[in-house]
Amino acid sequence: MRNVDIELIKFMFMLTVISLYFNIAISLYGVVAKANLVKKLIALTIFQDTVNMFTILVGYKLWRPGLLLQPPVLTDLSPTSETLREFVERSVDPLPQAFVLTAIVIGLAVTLFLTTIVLHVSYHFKTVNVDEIGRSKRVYIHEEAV
Amino acid sequence: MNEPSVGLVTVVPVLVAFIMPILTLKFRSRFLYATITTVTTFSVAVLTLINLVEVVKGNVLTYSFGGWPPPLGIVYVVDFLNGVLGFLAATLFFFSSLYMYWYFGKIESGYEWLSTLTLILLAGVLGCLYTGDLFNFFVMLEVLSISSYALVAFFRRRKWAVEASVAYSFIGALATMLFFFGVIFIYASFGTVNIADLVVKTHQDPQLISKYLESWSGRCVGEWCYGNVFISSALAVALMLWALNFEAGLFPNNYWMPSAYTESPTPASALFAGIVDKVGTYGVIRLFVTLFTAYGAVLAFPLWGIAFRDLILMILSFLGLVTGYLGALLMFPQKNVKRLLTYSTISHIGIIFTSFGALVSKIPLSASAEALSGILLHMITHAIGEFALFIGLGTLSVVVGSTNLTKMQGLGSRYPLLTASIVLSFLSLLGLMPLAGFFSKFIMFTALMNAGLPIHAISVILISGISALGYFKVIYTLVVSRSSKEEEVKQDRLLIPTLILLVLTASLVVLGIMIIQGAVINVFMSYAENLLSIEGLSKYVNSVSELSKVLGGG
Repeated sequence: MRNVDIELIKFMFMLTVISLYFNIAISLYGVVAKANLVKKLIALTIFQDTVNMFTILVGYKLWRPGLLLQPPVLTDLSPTSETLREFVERSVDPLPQAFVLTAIVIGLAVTLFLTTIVLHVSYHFKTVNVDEIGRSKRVYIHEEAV
Repeated sequence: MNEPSVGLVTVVPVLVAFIMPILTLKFRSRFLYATITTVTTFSVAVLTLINLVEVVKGNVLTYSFGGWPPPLGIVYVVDFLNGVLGFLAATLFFFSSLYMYWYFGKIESGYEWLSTLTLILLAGVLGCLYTGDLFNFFVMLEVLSISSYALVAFFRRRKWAVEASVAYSFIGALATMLFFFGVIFIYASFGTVNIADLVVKTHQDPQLISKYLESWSGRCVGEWCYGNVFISSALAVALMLWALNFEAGLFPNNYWMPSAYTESPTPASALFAGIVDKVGTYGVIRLFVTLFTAYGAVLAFPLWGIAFRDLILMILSFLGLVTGYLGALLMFPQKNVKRLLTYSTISHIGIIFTSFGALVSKIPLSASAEALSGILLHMITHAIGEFALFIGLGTLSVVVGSTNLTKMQGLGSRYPLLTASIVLSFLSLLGLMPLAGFFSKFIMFTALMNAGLPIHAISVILISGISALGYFKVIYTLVVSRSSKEEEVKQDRLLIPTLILLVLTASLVVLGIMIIQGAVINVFMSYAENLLSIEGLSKYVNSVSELSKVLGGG
């Protein structure tokens, strides 16, 4: 019964990894290929979230039979080395979570900036389609060079 | 040991940049903001000079934030490579903020934001250069990029500035996020993001062992850490290289450069061309000279008969060739001065990347050291020359009210000293004998010849020859041709820009004369050899390990 559980967990883990890769592929396509700047922005945030999810996954620890499923909290105020060892056994790696917190804050700044700049683009060009902006830019560059 | 001068270089500008928006509630004087920026950048330049003096003595400086022993906390490590570049960056920022005294009189508003963004950019650049931690490199890369996006869109009433910022920022955000993805792969397989600790783990060399570092982050047994290090390192390098090449402006990723450099305000575009594109180049050098070297086995697995690391360097070198030719060929038809200078920057980045071909594993250490010293010297001479040109021609374009080259005819007789400095900077970029630009190109040429890459070596000369056309076009317009109508323009003496340009070109001439006397090249060669040798690597690791020993309690 326990072995079946392990197999199931491994299968779910692989499924998660593959779907994350799939998500990355879709969002990269969205950023590169979509002409609408708002759609590009949405795809970019999806990409950021997927990378963050992937980072959390790096700190994942495989559940093993015999391991008590308890929240990884140290309840002892003056822990002995024995309780600390037991705590480390069942807790996940905390460093990826610190990475993700930093990355989320940075992502917030980038997203805010991009939203503002897209707003300015729509003021100036009356459109957020990069193909149309690119066409008018080619005209501008041509006029500048001739 | 914990050197405060290393840690303060990013803390000081960030603190001042955070205080500055509060001052805007009370003060409106542009002199105040220019003075604050100048004082801050000057103090940072002094700090980097202190570091440079220590580094030239042969020491490796370290600083650990918060007193955490190294693999646990963020650590800054300064060796010769980033010591020199850090001092160069801080000096250029100081000149840029001096220039702001003049430039703030020419823009209607937004002094406070230009100052704030410049200081944040300074923190980002120096953080990227000094950090000894890959995740901190990502954070500082984001600080650098966000301030650059905002600087490009500084004139938000001009629609092409906003368009340039959009073209830069969307793919830039994607590239930096991919850098983060690469760092995660490194962490997943090695269990650490500290560069010194990674050096120990990627090399598995008996000379590079640190029991203090591995007491925190564990030890790789045999070839295995926490998974297949070969595949994950290759993936991480692939992802990180894209972000670094995007910042540096290597061929497929430089479509954003011309518009962004043209539309940003002059002090900012001078900084972009001078030092910000060098940060990406520095990252690539750090990746292949310190992290994945020829001594380590991690990236040495063969792909199509060539070691993977060498294959990457050869591809980078080839892309450098393409970039160089592209920049040089596209420079001549440009009418916009800033766009022309941007294409000149692109061609020089191409020349620098071409020399990476001499860093592959099988080439003897002397040729690689020659190439590395050439790369470093060219980064310095190009940074000074291009910075001076952007400042000089940007000033002239503000004076005539247009960046169009045809409007600048005959300005040479009106501003003789400024024009003389501009011409000297052009000649240094071109590579004329007594100026410093000649020697950096010459060292790269001989290094590529010694490394058995004659096509690359000759291409360096050819690229310079083609770009001469574009340079002489500007010189001809400024000096020889006369403007058709002699209108009476309000005379501006341009005192501050002229002084800045005179100092910069004088430094180019002095550097050239020092190189003729043979002092500088020997220093650069010996340090480059030290950087590339395993002794230099073990010195890098030992300094961080020593810090870990002291802070970790023995």
